[in-house]
Amino acid sequence: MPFVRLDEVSVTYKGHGGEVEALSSVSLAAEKGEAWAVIGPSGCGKSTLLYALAGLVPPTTGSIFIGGERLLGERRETSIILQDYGLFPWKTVYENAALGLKIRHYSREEVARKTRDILIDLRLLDFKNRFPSQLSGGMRQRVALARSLTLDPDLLLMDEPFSSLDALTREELQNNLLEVRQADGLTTFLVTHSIEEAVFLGRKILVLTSRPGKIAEIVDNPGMGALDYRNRPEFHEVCSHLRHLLRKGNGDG
Amino acid sequence: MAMDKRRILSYLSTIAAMLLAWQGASMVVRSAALPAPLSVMSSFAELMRGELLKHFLISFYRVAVSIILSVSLAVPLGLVLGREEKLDRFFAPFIFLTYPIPKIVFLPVILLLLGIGNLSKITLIVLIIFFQILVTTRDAARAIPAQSILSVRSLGAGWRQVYRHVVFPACLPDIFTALRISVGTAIAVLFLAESYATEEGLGYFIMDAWTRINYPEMFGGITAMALMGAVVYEALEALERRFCAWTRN
Repeated sequence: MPFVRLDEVSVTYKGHGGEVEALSSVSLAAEKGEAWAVIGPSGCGKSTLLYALAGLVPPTTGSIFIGGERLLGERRETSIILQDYGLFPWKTVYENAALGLKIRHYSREEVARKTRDILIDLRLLDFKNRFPSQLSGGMRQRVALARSLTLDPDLLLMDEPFSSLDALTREELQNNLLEVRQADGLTTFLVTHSIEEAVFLGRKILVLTSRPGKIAEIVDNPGMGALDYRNRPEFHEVCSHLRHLLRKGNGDG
Repeated sequence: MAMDKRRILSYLSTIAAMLLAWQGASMVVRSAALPAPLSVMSSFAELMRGELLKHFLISFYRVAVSIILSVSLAVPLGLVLGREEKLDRFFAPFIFLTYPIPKIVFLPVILLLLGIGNLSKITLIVLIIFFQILVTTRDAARAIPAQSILSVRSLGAGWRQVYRHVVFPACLPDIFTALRISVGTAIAVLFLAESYATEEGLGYFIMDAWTRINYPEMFGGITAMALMGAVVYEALEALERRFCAWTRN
C-alpha cells in the first residue's frame, strides 16, 4: 500500500474574479521513504498541491490518503518548510527550532534535548541566540529544516526551500537534505522551479502543466540519491528530458 | 552599558542646548512671562520638594493608568479585528464613524457623569488613545502575510497559539509606535482635563500659577510635565528593547 495516495484531487479557490481552478484531478501514489520533486511553470498549482498534502487546504473534489488514513486536516507527523515566511523574525534560532515541540506541549526537558540534538546535527548550536535577520540565507534555511526535523516527521513537505540561495549554498543544503533523508527514511515532497534541483532531490519527478495544474508526466529518476549524481551523464539526460517536457507544457516547444 | 552612557550624554547635551536657547530668548524678550531658566530651575527644585511633587505624581498616575487600560482594551480587540474578517466587517464601520469625533467634546458629559476625580480624566484619555492604538494594531494584524499563519498552523498551532506566537509578536513593534504617539496625546489631553474643575494635577498647577501671574512656578510645572513625558518614553523604550530585541541588530 502506498504511503501517500492522491485520488483525482482538484482544488478550486474563490478569487476576486470568480473561481480559479488551481489543481485539476491529480492522482499519484508515493511509497514510504520515497523522494518526490514537483516542478512546473509558475502558477501551476505546485504550492497548492503541497498545502493540500499538508492538510492546510482541503481538496475541492477527490481525496488524499496518508499512511492509509484519509487526510482531513493537519497531521502531527507532517512537517512543512515554506519559502520565505517559515521562520519568525521575532524568535531566536533556538526558539524557532523549538516552536513545533512547544506548540505540541512536549515537556520542557524534552524540548531542550531534542532541539539541542538537531541544532548540533545541523551545526547551528553556536548561533542559537541569534535572530534570523542576523543569519545568512543558507543558515536560515538550515534553521527551518531543524524546526521541521525536531518533530520527527514521516512526511516532509518543502515549498521552494532553497530558491533564494546562491548556487554553492544551495548545493550544500541540497546535500544536507539528501543526508538527512537517507538517515531517517523520510518521505519527502519538494516543490521547485529548478530543473537541476528536481533531478538531484526527486526519485520521482511530478511535472505539472500550467493552470489548472494537471499531471504532464511522472518522471522516474532511478539514479537519484548519490552525492556525485550532478556529475553523471544520466543526471543531464533526465534534466534535458524535463526541460523538453516543460517547454512543451508552456506551448512553445 | 555603553549604550546607557551615550543616552545620558545625549540627554545632557540636549538639555544644555535647550537651556542656552531659553536663556537667549528670555534675554531678548525681557518679559516676566518668560523667566530665565536658572530661576525656573531653582523654583522647580524647590517646588518638587513641596506641593509640585504631589501634582506630578497624580498626573503621572492618571497617564499611566490610562495607557495601561487603553492598551489592554485596544490591543486584543485590534488583533482580533485585524485577523477575523467577519468581525471586522461588522465593527469597522463603527470604528470609522467614532474615530474621527473629537472626544474632547464629551468632557462636559464625562464630568457630569463621572465627577471631577481621577475617573473622569482617565476615561477621557482612554477614549482618545484607545482608538489610536486600536486602528494601528488592527492594520498591523491585517498586514501579516498568510504564509506566516500557515507556517505556524502547519506546526500544529491552534488559534490561541497562532495569536501568541505570530499575530501578537508580529504587531508588537507597531503597537509600540502607536504607544509613543499616544503618550504625547495622553499628556496633552490630561492637561486640558486638569485645567477644568479640579485642584489636583500638573494641568491645575500650571493654570493656577498662571492666574497668580507666578511665572517661575508656571514654568516649574511645565518642566515637570516635560519630565513626566520623558519618564514614560524611556519606560516604553526599555520595554521595547526587552520585547522587540529582534528589530534592532
